[in-house]
Amino acid sequence: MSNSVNNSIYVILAPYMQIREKITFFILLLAVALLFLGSLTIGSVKIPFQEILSILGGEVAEKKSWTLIVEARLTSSLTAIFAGIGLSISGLLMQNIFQNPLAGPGVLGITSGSNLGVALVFLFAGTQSNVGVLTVIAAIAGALGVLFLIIGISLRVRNNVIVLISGLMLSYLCGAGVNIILNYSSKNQIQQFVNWGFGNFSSVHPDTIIYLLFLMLGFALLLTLLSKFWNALILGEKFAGSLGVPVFKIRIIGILVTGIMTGLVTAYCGPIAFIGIAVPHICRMLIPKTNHFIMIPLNILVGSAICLIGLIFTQYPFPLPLNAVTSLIGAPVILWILISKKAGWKTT
Amino acid sequence: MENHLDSIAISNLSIHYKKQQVLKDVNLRLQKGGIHVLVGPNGSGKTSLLNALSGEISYSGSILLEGKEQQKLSKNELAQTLSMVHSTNAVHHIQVEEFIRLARFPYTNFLGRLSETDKEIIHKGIQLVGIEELLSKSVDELSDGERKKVMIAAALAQDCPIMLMDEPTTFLDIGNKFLFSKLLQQMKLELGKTLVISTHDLDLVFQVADSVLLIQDQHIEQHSVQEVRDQKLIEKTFEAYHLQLDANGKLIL
Repeated sequence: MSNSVNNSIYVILAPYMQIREKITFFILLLAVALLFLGSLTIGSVKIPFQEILSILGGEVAEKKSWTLIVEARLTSSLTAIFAGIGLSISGLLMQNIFQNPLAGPGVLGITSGSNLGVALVFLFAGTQSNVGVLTVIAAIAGALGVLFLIIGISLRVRNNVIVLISGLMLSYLCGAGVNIILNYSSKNQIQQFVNWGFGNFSSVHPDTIIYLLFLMLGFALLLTLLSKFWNALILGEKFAGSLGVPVFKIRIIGILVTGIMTGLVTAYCGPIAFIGIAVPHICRMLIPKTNHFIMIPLNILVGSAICLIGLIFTQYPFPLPLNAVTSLIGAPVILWILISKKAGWKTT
Repeated sequence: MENHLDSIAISNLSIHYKKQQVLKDVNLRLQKGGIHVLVGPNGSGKTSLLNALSGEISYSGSILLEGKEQQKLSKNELAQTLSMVHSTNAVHHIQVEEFIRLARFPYTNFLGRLSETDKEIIHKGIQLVGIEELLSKSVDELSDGERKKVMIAAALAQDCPIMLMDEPTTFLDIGNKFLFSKLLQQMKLELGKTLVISTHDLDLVFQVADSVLLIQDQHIEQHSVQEVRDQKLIEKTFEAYHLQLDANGKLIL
């Protein structure tokens, strides 16, 4: 056998990450740290970097207002990381569960389901200054409702294009529901809903964000521990089943967790576009592997980095709506993937 | 009577599909380390029998795999007893080596990490099938013949005493068909596998089969290749009396 073959077998069968992959992870970790500090520094009010570090260290700032600003920015930055983790992992798992490279919370109508749930809360429970429990429950219920409908359709038709179009139709249906609700809402309620719809990372209460972040990391850890099963699902339902994979159970777990993650992010940050679908593809470009032990942590880092970039661009050089920024980043990535056929998966 | 030389023992097996009876009162004993070829018209129940053996569809009656009642085996035990060489249509963008590695699923721990034994078994299968040069390619870039080999290597990585194949020579050219027949013999002789193959390929029947399972009218009869040839059983099974086969089982045109 030739040397190249020996090397090749060694490369894939080696259980540990390769040096190139370790370097990629290290660079990404550094990038997230820098972007995190950048998001604390960049904004309409200029605060010296030294002062920011002092405030983070618990010291008293030169100006009292600076402390408040840094605390608000810290909450937004942690929220961006929370959203980045939730949406990118949801996208990765949906692409796996549906065996469809174009699956994602936005494309399959999951986010629209959450929208509908939130619109119902805005209409019947009135507007709220901070996101309430009811909004969170409604957003998760909406996401799970659409997810189960989509999985029902995908089991019946087993055609990726039809599943995607069905997601689009469900999205329209939810949108119609939202429009009807808005028709009967007050001006104030409509304004509140429209603002929520632009997406933002500044609606979470500073006391809540740390719990939300730990919750999201807990879900991410759970899904990483189940990597063996996500990896086997890549083989297709039939093959995975013949290997003893409890395909139905594992899919239900995946759907429940991704539904909750998407619902949580949508409730607190609004319907954020393109992160869920684009980040898993950016990750595959960085490390072209299918092993979820590597891909889930990679998605956490890349998702956090992109959401932090989004957060920075909503404030600098001039204020922009978050959804416009994420679409400007995500849409070209997806277009490039479609044109270059990098997705590699069949459409039917 | 069950025999310790039997790899598969089927008793009073009946299968219904969409409220229609497909197979009725099937009784078979398939010898260990043999190549057993299923032959029958389209829709006669070949795939249904394979699906029943692999536990994918329900049935009445009994199937013993390596002496154990199939319905009492856990998913993992079944996956360690019987592997299926799948068609590759549903397989997506994944590197060949990673694909084969995943077939060790029933043996790996919770984190899916491969042991030295796992790696050795994977390596052996890759060498036997001869796909070393394909390992770094993506499964969806392969030709039909190459894909078939990769699927066999994956089934070998699963390391089961019984292997099932549903119409494995479809889409293979003459050269690849020849290699495939040779590979089947190797799997039987070198690894002692029991192979159950459904096919319409008469070359395969007459070249490699130890026993021929003829399906007709919901029943399965087991014959030797000699009996099939001498009694013109292929012609009878397909009710195609105009068919003429020579002494080697080749179709005379």
